Amino acid sequence: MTGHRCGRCGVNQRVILYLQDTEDGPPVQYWTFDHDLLIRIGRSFGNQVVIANPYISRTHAYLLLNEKGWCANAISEQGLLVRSERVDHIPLTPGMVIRLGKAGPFLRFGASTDSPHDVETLDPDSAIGVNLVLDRRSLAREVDKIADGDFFRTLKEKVHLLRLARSAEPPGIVDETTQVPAAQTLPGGPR
Amino acid sequence: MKIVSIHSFRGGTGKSNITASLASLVARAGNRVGVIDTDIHSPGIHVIFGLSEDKVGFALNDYLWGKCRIEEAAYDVSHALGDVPEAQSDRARIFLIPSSVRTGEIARVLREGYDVGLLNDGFRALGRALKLDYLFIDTHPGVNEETLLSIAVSDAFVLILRPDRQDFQGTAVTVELARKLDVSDMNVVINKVPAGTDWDRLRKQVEDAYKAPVVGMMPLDTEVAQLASSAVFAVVHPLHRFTLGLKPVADRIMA
Repeated sequence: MTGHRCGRCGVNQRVILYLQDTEDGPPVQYWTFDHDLLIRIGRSFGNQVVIANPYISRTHAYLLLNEKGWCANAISEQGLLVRSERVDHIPLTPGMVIRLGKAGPFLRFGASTDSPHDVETLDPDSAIGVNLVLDRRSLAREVDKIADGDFFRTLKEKVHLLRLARSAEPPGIVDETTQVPAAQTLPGGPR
Repeated sequence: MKIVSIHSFRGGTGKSNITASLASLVARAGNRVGVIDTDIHSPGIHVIFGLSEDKVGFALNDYLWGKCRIEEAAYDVSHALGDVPEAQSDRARIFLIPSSVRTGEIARVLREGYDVGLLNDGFRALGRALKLDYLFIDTHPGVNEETLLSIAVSDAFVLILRPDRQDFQGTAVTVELARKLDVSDMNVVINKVPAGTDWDRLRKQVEDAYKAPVVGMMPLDTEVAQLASSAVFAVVHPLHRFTLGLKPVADRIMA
């Protein structure tokens, strides 16, 4: 085998899969495969491409390399969509985007010359919140600062009074005369 | 009437869109629903319900300044519910009490504040006058007296956050303060979850940190962003994953 070509069929074996939130959005994660003939995609950990998303089945789809190139096969009933059309089996061409189910994320099939280092990937310390950790010391300090002051004591008293007022009100009092006009027919009043 | 307050520590979490969609899902199930925009500093939910500013006579501000009864500031925006299933169409209604978008009115609230006791009276008067089953309160982001009091007098509290560290930490402060005010039925909704996130892990991290259930998770989605503020998303896209993520929240509120 030379480079990433399949020794059996000579087809370029290198695959880069980009996970996208939208059909033409930026990649948020990618996977590269250099020596695989089968790539399993799904939610469970037994897959090579694991996407923890409730709209993806445990085993959702397979990408298979045959003598003509790579193709995608839907395994799950959630299926695959290409440009909103449902497909069960489709040959993949570089740049093609497939959606994992009607409401799932998108996977772009990368060209063999793509460099995964050129794509914008998520900073593990930023938005994705791979590891959301509370600073408990800072939290306690902030909460105590608010809760120990006069402001919060007064607030608690107000809450107590408001709750008393609410619980004292007899239920089921209905003013039968109130009519609210539809927004489009309302006469203009002072603003 | 059940009062549900919807809050987020930071702006940009999608709070108003979620409030509009949640309230509409509850109304479409055959309920009379009120939505009150107490985000007086930066009002906006009226746009989602298609209530143009020139149609607004009295607003919540007028009630708070004693110029009108609160029901006079209510607008029937049931057209935003779309085609309601026949079995629910008799009762399904939604009313919006907008805040004024006039900068002078906003400045007055910033300058003088308002009487939260009066607002609380208004909630109950509105429920009686419009025979509401549910009242949703769209609160102002952050931690302030008016918001904490609104949360404290609610029957259910829905806290929305984005999965980023700053929001995670700030939301924790809100959670702790709400707990000190004996707020019951605290529910967390995580919005704008980026693709590729491990949803189960994120849910566990948030639940472990806040000791409150995550009742809904919605993905970061450009379709939602594109439609944001032009219509009620859950009505226009009932099968979208954003809407499907909100349905359990609506079911929990109605439980």
